[in-house]
Amino acid sequence: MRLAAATIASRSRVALARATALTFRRFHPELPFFLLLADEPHESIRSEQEPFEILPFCEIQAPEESRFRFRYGELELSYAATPFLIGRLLELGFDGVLFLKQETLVLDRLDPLFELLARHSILLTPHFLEPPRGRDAFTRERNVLRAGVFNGGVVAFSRCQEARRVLDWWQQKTLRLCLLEVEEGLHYEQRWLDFFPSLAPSCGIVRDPGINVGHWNLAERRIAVRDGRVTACGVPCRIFRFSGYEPHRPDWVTRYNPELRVESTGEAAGVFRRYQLLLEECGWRHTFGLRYAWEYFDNGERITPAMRRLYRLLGDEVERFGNPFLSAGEGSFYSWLRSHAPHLLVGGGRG
Amino acid sequence: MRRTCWSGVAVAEPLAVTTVIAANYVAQGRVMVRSLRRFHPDVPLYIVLAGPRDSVGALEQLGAKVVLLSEMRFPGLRGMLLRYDCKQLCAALKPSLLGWLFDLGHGCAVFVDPDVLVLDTLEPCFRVVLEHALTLTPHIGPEFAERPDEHLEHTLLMAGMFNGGFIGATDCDETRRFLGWWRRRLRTHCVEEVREGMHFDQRWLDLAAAFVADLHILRDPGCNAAYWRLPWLELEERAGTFFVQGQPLRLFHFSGYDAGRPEFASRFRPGWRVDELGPAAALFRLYQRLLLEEGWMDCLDRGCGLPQTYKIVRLARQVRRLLGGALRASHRPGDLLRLWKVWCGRA
Repeated sequence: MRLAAATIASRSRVALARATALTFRRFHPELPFFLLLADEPHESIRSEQEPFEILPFCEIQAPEESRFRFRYGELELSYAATPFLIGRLLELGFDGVLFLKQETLVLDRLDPLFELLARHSILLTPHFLEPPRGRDAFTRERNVLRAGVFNGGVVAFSRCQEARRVLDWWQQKTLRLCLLEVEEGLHYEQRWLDFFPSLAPSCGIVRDPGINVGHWNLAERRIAVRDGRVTACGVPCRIFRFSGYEPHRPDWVTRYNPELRVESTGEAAGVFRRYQLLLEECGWRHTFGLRYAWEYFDNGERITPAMRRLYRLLGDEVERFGNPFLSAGEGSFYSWLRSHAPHLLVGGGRG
Repeated sequence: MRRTCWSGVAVAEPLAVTTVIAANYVAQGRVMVRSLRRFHPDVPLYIVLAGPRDSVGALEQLGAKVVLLSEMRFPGLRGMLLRYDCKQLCAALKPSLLGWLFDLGHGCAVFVDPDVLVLDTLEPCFRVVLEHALTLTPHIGPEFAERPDEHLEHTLLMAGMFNGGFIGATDCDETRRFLGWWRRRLRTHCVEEVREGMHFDQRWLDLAAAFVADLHILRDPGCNAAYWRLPWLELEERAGTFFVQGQPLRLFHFSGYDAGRPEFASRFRPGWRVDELGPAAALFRLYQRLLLEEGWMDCLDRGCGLPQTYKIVRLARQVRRLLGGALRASHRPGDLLRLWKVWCGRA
């Protein structure tokens, strides 16, 4: 089985992708690791110097690419591109693709996961393997009901007709509905994963407590560190996720739960410290300062979330604008904004 | 995988079927029981009746063991009677019903909604139920990915991936743990609050995919088929027998069907007219005829009448309106009593 692993990041988050790729390659030097750069290239990010092979965004051949890039903000786009990246790698001839979200640490070999993938079309990892415990159990369950039963940080697809069919459907969804609109049942690309077990009879659910440990299940996973080896519930911890971790706030476990502090996580605190050190080595202080290229029109004016929202609300009407990043011409989206929603532009679009 | 997790109590039939019927669903319940008996004359059938005592005899004649809800001692029942309306209450009782059958000594329990019609033997479905800790039926199948429907996708994001109209459970530690958790959640949160990720009993079932290692997803399109799957399935009638994808149609779920508006398939999908459903139209016409034969007209004016407790439920609705979410959020009986006194003081 020809395998590959991959992640997605914009330029500012490349340090996170480096940490993921470095730790993956440490345990699996024989396998390629790809980064889909959801941003314009940058001179400081070059395949020959990186632990990953860079795929430019055009490589995934997303339909209506410029519209796709305009519809979403930086974070949303990196999520929405997930099924396209997996699909592209399968088209390139890989038999199995492991997708890891950018803020991941691989702590052991992933052979058990790959063996499982050989027997399934798709692999999903649930947020919980048992009802959560503790005073916040209900809140955590409710969060998962809103965000999706399965976590989008570790997903694997094998090359087969069943997986391809589901991947095509997922692509259709994330092309337009990779949004955080809880009242509509939407939670980026992740809520759609709930459909997979219905759509794919041979979809497998990974029940290894050492895979996809994250802030949502830390309380149940009993993290221990012995001689540098990390275990979860007594089994090797293979994939540890740092969803919402911010290196400039190293005391916080995640920005999604400001009350949860690293020092309160027991032995897991050591893993967080290790991650922080690795991010320093991976140059987060430099990359976090890199500008997201697709947040600006070609005239340098910033594209705000309100503009993107308006663009999405226009539906298929936006086809007539062509590339929405281009500001010149009477038929551009920028011109349309100037005449229909000038309050959204800096200085009301005057001058 | 065969599980060795029977309760150990000797019973003649390991598998039993259960449902809960409200007063306004007695006709549906009778149609369900009669159709089940046609193919399974001996399977033990337990019905909890949240309705008038005079319906008991008619259901028992069909070979069901009927117990009035007011006689049940389910944990938290009194609080649920105060907290919920009829639909919420019936949905919230599902895990209690399954656990009740385990306590009676049945090693395997199947819950079916009362608004289903059994059209062929359920033996193949029962066989897989017996082999797994929990068995659920998904709303959609693989065919959906090729012809997706945004309306249905939106509905499922709100209402859940599995349908609560057919649930199979085998008595083992894993199932008891899951049912215990589900029961605790439904005691206070069998509500329709989409923003909070809740839809009666059903959204909670999505978590079964995470919590239950031995969950079996029963993909037989003939088991718990319903309006939501009709456009994707090939349904045909041959000499009075219905087939779906060439296989027998075993159990059809008439979710949201109103015999008083027989031209529509379900109130949950306005615009889907029965006469546009091809061979399925005959199925809906058959169901309407059966409902009328079983006295559907007589049940119309019954509301969902809960004997003894109905008045309390009605009052509780007013309490709920007065006190907003406070009552639902309340977990302790003392709190309920205090709220009750507050309301009585106002009244």
